Amino acid sequence: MSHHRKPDLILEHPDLGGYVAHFGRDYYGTIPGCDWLEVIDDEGDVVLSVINRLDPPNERVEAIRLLLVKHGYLAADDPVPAALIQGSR
Amino acid sequence: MGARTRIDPKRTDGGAKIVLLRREDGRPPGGLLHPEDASTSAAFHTAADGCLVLTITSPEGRLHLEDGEGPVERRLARVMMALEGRGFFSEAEHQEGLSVLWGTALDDLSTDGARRAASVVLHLMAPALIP
Repeated sequence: MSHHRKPDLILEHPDLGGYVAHFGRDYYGTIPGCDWLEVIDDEGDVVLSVINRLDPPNERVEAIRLLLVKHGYLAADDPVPAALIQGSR
Repeated sequence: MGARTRIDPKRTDGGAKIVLLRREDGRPPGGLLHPEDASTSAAFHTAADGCLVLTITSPEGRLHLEDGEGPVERRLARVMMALEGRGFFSEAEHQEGLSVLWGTALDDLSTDGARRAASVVLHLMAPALIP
């Protein structure tokens, strides 16, 4: 597996403050394996780790967005962060 | 000590055994407490589309695994490895727990860890066993 891309996101939790997130897609050769996301706090701890293997893969970004909304890192009406879209290509 | 999961393998339907899980405290099935850290728990279920969903929650953070790719056995293996990697049961208990798929009774397993592993297997595989 290799990390195809690893863009950074800046997330703002309304109660807990700012977080950095890393997102990427792992591949088995040319076959997409899993999409993953790690939300990291200012002490470097991973506070949310997401591993998504939804099939078809094009559903994964939306599933991850919904999870970020569920945990308060995105507002419900926030669009999909560009880094997620770019990272899933 | 967390609530134990009780296995009720009474029904058969179309030749396939259907395993029903109930928790003695009346809460929905599909949860485990970490054996050494009561502040860490795991919740797991099979979504309507067959996707296996696992969430491990601890004071430090949360892991969310959503797996709908490939054969269900492979999805199960990935869920089990995630739980094993976080200390819910050992590798040996994982392997022993899988034997419930071939008919071993939960009570015949040798350790609590193997029974924890088996309860995950039975809960996640039950929908796949329904014809």
